[in-house]
Amino acid sequence: MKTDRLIEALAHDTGAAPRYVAERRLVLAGVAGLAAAFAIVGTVFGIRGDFAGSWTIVLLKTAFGVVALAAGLPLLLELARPNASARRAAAPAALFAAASLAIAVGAFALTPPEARMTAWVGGGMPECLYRIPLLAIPIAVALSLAVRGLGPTRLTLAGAAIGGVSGSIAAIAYASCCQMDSALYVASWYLASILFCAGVGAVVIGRAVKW
Amino acid sequence: MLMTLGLQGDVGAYRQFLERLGGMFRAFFRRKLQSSDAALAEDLVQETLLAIHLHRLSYDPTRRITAWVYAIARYKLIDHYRRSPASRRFVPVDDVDDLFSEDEPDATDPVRDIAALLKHLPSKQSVAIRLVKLEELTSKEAAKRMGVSEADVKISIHRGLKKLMDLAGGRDVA
Repeated sequence: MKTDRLIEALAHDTGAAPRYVAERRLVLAGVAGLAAAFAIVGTVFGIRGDFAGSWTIVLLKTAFGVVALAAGLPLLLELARPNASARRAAAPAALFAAASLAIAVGAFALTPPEARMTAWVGGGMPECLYRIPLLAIPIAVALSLAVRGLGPTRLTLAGAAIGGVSGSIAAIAYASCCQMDSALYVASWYLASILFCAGVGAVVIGRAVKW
Repeated sequence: MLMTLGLQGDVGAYRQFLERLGGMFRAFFRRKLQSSDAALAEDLVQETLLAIHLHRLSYDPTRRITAWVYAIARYKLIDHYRRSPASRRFVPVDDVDDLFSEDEPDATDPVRDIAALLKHLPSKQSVAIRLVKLEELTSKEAAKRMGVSEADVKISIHRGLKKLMDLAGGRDVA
């Protein structure tokens, strides 16, 4: 039978396989994407003018993105390859979203009512709502290419994970140009931007990573 | 275990691993496709084996291999459904009755058997037999209903039964 010949051919096309291939490819794509995002922030958006004097708050906002990334990474690693269940790996991401929401609600309660709107939306529409997804695009492209080669089998979920992680990495870069420093703003709008990226990812990237 | 050895470059172990997978997938696809199309199942087996080979580097040796290989097999099955929607045999709810009804008469049902044989008799004989033997009227009632004499009914039954026995190959149909 033909299958026997195929098996024979495949068996001889082997060799010692390197380990942690999935991890390495994803990290490589993520770092490349982060570099691209920083380049866009530096050239198009511009680093905030008072960067030198406000590095603690910038660091805090960067930390938000880093924690989001750490929460989403296990899920991405799980969904990037053939997979039957990702429920356990989704826990950190869900926990992060809940915690961020709790911070937003807490900050809202603690802010004096007259200052709430300024702290929450600043002047008009929160810019991060479109800037973070914009920064996430090159990151998502890099991650999608990496994930596609790893053989994801649950495409929509994998797309959502790629979107969410790309949004998180984009938030890290965006923190250097964002002028809004209130916890209420960061915990609500950064989270909303990342979730938006995940939603778009589920629809768009889910199709792009089909192999 | 065999997969791990295969990933370390052991050709024999890897071949054995693929052969075992081939058997598993053959059973899996035949069951899932529920068709006698052995060639189609074999195609999917080969596609899956190839996919496993091409993605072997993304396998994490600390995890269960079964879940990993079946995730690929299932992906290939879904992929097949997507490519050829015709292979999805949807049965409209309206047609379900036809699927479950028996067109073939139950072979052990004597009434149906006789009804079929009665068609071969002249109508007078078959009506007489149906009324007296199957509907259990007396010959007098049957004669009245048919508009003939009682003796005529009895003779018709007698001749009809004799003919029926010949038709049924000597079986006792009375």
